[in-house]
Amino acid sequence: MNSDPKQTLETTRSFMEKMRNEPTDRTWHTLYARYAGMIINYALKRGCSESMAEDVLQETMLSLWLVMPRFQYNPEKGRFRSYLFRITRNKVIDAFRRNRRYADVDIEKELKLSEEDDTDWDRAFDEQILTEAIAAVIKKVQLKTFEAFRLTFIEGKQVKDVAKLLGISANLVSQHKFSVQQLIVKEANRLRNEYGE
Amino acid sequence: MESDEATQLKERLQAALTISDLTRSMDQPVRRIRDRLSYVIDLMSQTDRPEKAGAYLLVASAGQPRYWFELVGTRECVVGRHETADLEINSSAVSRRHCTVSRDESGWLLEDAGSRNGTFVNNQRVEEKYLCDGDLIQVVKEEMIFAEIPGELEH
Repeated sequence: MNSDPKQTLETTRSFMEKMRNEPTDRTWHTLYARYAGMIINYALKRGCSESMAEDVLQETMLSLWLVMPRFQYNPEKGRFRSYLFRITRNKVIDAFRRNRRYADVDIEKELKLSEEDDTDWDRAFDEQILTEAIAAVIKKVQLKTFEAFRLTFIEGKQVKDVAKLLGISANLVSQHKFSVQQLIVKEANRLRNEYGE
Repeated sequence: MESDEATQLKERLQAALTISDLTRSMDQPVRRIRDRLSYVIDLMSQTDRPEKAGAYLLVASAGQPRYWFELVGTRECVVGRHETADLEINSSAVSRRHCTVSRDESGWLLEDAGSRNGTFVNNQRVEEKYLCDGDLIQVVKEEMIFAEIPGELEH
């Protein structure tokens, strides 16, 4: 999902102020690269079709650009991610509203889109972090190392079977399983810091 | 035996990999939207935005923004070549009554009015479409960007 090169993103007061004063292409592209996947993921989780999720992404990112010059970041009122959630949630509601099937329906109630319930948003964020962490770790380790981890830890296959499949010792498979797991956790924590969490 | 923490991590990783596969199929549309929004934002940046909150069409031609047209919710906006059109486009390729924009309970609806050369949104020909912020409406060579300008916002 992230096709742009990763850039450090500081969702802190200084970054938000910079966004407000200089809504440059680079800044907007950075936000797009970081959050597009998450927005799509959340929209799909809330029952949007793919084309509706695209609409949600388009509207959310344009909304962000429109409000940024007047945005007054107040960290006491919550994180940027929470603010982005409110915009995205409203765009999901709009997407359903545009569907005539829901013309006479209380969409927020029907879809349980409570303002307080950001479980799916948090889940989308967690998945975004882990997807990026996995991608980063794959670049750092050998293919066989990651495969040993994936087959044992993710798919739950027996160590001895994976050892036979990959042509390495069971001991090495167990080591790879543990080491890649640690690398992913470490990378995920580093990414959370980058997102200002 | 796996610890609870390891079990939870496994479940989260499984979910992440599943969603990654699912959203990978949307890589192309995500890039397309990014490129289109870059163009839209570039046009909008070249002109002063309306101060009043509301729904607007930013009219552009030859890649240059020309003016903002305010949509009024209480009546239909006619786009066409005819002099009585609300948004007049002076081109023989544009039908006299080319398309309309009106508001109902579901949102802002763009409808082609049986035009000769068609009405396009985001490069796709449409008969009718509920407009989204950032939609690029194309009537022959004229472009119009739909945007709902918000009021003041403090985080």
